[in-house]
Amino acid sequence: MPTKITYYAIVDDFSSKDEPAGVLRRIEDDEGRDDQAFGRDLKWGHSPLLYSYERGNMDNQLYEISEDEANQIVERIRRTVSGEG
Amino acid sequence: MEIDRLRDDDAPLVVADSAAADVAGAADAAGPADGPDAAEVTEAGEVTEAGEVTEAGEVTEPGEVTEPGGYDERDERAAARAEYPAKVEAEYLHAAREYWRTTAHPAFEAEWTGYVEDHPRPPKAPASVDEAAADTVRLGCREIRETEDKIVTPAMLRIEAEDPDRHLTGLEFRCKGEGRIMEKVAHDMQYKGRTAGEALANLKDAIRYTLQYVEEHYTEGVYADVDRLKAADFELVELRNSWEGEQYKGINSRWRVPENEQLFEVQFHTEISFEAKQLTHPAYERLRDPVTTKAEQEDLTDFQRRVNLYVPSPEGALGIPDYP
Repeated sequence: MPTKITYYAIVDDFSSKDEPAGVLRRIEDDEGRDDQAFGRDLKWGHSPLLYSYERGNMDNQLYEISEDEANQIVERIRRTVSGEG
Repeated sequence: MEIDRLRDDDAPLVVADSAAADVAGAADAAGPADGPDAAEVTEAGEVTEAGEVTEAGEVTEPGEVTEPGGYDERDERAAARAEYPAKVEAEYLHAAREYWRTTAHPAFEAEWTGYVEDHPRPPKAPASVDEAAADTVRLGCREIRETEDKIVTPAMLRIEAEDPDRHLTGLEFRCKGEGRIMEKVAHDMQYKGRTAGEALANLKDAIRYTLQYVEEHYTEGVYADVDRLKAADFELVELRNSWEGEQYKGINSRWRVPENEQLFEVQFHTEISFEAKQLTHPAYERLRDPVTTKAEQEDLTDFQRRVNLYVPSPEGALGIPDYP
């Protein structure tokens, strides 16, 4: 199975679809699946948000987005963390 | 070792067979499937033409069945047809409940026990946040517990008392543990750039309740309890219907306490959907854990999916709309 990556914008009470709080990706391949979010340490790390969302948790809304849109959120986080944003 | 898999189609086949037999039985009782106005020849009489005079001296309508016994028989058939969907639903629910109680639930419990024995795991390390953030969380948790104790739980108990057909279940879990709250705050600080205070304010299920209904009263019960919560001056923030979900069945809603803006959660379940949720909770906890491998995540989501296959949806539940 070729690797499939699905991206999601994370929106909470302090953010919006136009300016999401973060970005999540679900990676699926022959080994299984893994959900990762892009952190303020500028690395992708395991995130439970999608599993929580699938169990009805509404702390965050997750909106499926394109890879380009995901990259824009990653860049915004990079700029924010480095003080450029 | 992988999870010992129950065949996906075990219960649906049994339930479906039972339902099919019930359908056949009910259909026999109700007569042919065409409408009550269709012209039929019965053992009791013959189809008449308009204006024909019967032996009893009565003038008939077109298609009407002659006496003796014709009217009574047709009324009985109409009544049987009217009762038919409810009868099938009741028989289906009975079969589904029995199968869950006697077969599926014990089998899944045993399967999970075996899985845990085959996949031992050290206790999870507590979430790590800086001391200032930890202080914010501890203070916040005290305030949350005070709101729960003085405002929300008394109101929920009053609401529960208004209808004996359902009850609050799992009340002992109404306050999320400080460790789990710390974990969520740490995640939001790391992955959403939130302060500890913001992360705490975004937490919608630090206080949570579950109302449990029998399937037959679920849909009307949910609507009635949403109205009761509103009448108690709580503000509905969000409601999500997950009855079509693969990993979880039920409805979760979020509410706001007007006095201090504190959010709390109310879940609407049937007995089986609540037990399925409890049964799969340890799998969900493992899914959240960063040390869980990709292959294990597959097993765990598969376990959750298979458990939820056995949860019957109450009539009308799928139509309860999300809010907003």
